[in-house]
Amino acid sequence: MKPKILLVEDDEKIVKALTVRLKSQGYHVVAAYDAVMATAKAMEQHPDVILLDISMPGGNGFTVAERLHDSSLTEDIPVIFLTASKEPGLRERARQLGAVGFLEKPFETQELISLIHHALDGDAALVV
Amino acid sequence: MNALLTPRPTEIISPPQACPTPPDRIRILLVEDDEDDYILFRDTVEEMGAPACTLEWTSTYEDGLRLLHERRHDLYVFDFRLGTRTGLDLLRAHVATDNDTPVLLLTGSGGELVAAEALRLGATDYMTKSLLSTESLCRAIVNALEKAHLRRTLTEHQRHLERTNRTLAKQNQEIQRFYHTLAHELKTPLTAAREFIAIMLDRLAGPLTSEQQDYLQVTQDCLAQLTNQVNDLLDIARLDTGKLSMHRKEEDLSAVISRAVAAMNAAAQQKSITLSVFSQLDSPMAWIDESRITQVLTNLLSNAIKFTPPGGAITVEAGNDPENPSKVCIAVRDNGCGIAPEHLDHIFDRLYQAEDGHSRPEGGLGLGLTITREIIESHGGRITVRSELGKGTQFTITIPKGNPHAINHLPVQGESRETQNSACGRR
Repeated sequence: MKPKILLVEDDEKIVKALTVRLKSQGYHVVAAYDAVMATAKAMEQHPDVILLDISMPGGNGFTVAERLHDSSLTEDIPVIFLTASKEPGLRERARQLGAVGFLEKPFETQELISLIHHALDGDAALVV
Repeated sequence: MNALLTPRPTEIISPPQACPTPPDRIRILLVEDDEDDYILFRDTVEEMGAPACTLEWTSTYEDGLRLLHERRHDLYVFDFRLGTRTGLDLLRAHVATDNDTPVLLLTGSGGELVAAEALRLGATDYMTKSLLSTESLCRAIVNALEKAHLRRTLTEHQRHLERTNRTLAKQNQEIQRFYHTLAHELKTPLTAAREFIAIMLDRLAGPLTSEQQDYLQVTQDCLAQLTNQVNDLLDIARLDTGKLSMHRKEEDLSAVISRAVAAMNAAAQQKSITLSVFSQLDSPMAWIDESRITQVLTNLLSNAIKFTPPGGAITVEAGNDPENPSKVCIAVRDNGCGIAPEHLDHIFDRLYQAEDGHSRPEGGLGLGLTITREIIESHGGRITVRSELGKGTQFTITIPKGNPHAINHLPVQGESRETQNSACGRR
């Protein structure tokens, strides 16, 4: 069975590009475009990894991660944060929330693929 | 005793040179319970002639207090003894009203303790009655007004600075917010564009002709260049409004160097430049921000490739700092066109571009080396450069290996340029 990735990103072009890329790597991709949809899809689809944009409509990626962390259904799903922001403290916040990855856009595809592999392998040594 | 006498203006005389720029007519309030002393004071003022003064006299603490609240005098003169109260009581009341009019305290002979207390409370000066003369009074009045004027000017400047600081802090916040938005708006389409180009180059969207592949490769290179420039602009904006963010942790420095060199290898090969790495690190582990050190190395390598002619050679050498084993140094050396001595001291300046075609830097935004230096200094390190026109250039970075928070190690300040240059890779 293909590993399932929930891609939470409000920019449709990025969703489209990453979906093509991730499908080519053998993943099943589910997309969500805002914070509310992200939480709902995570509960409903129970993905193996969540790629979570930080800035998006309806609440940021951190609030989504907190919500998922509070639910026994979703608390164990590894999260990789994506952001285009250079705002200080984001990486630290991601670390506090137990993220397994933090990527600043634009990132190298290989970096993302490598982080997803680590997340699926349950690589606890991964440090954000 | 008179409670309040009609003011008796003194004769107006042009101020002498010795009394610098007093107001046209100085309004003095004298609070003095002894009429004889008042007359003595009044006569001294009249004899003084200049600066021109209007004297108003009151003999009681209560009237003095009332007149203080009117705030229509340029100078207050309080006698120490005011019936059951003292001039110090009046001074305290005066200070409490936040009135910045200067106060002179008159004391009898031997009143040094009183005088000291008056000065502590905020009096501008004190005078001993027995030593009162036209000269001493003139000096005291002019000094008091001058001090008051300076104090007011200082206070006004302080307030102005505080207002300016508040405005700047607000503008700074707005600029930061703008750059956060700008970062998001520029990077989001770049992310999508880069990914789609990569998808096509990876043949995920179907086969490509060799011409299509060439064009896409050029587009990918342009997007990579654009990404670097956007990142440089955002970094420099960050420098304007604070510090660059650093996320340091223990990393394998040898691996970081290898990856940076590997990333620049294709660009070097395009110009048939030999790119070599020599690592003599005792231990490769260092407390660094991996992405920032990679940024430094790729920036130095990119410059080296740009200014080295085809067939040239670039070497990266890493080793322990022979002067300080707790530090590592990395030298990036090329045999390119070199930097003219007159440009050497300016190449780390923001936006500096050498106009001489034989010197670097040319092209680019002129931000890379400023950011490079900031990153290295944020690691507690130093960057130095040595160059000779026509022979080549060497940049050397020296950074502490350890975690500054975990061990008792501080960046060594004030090291000489010679010491820095005597580290690894010196030619």
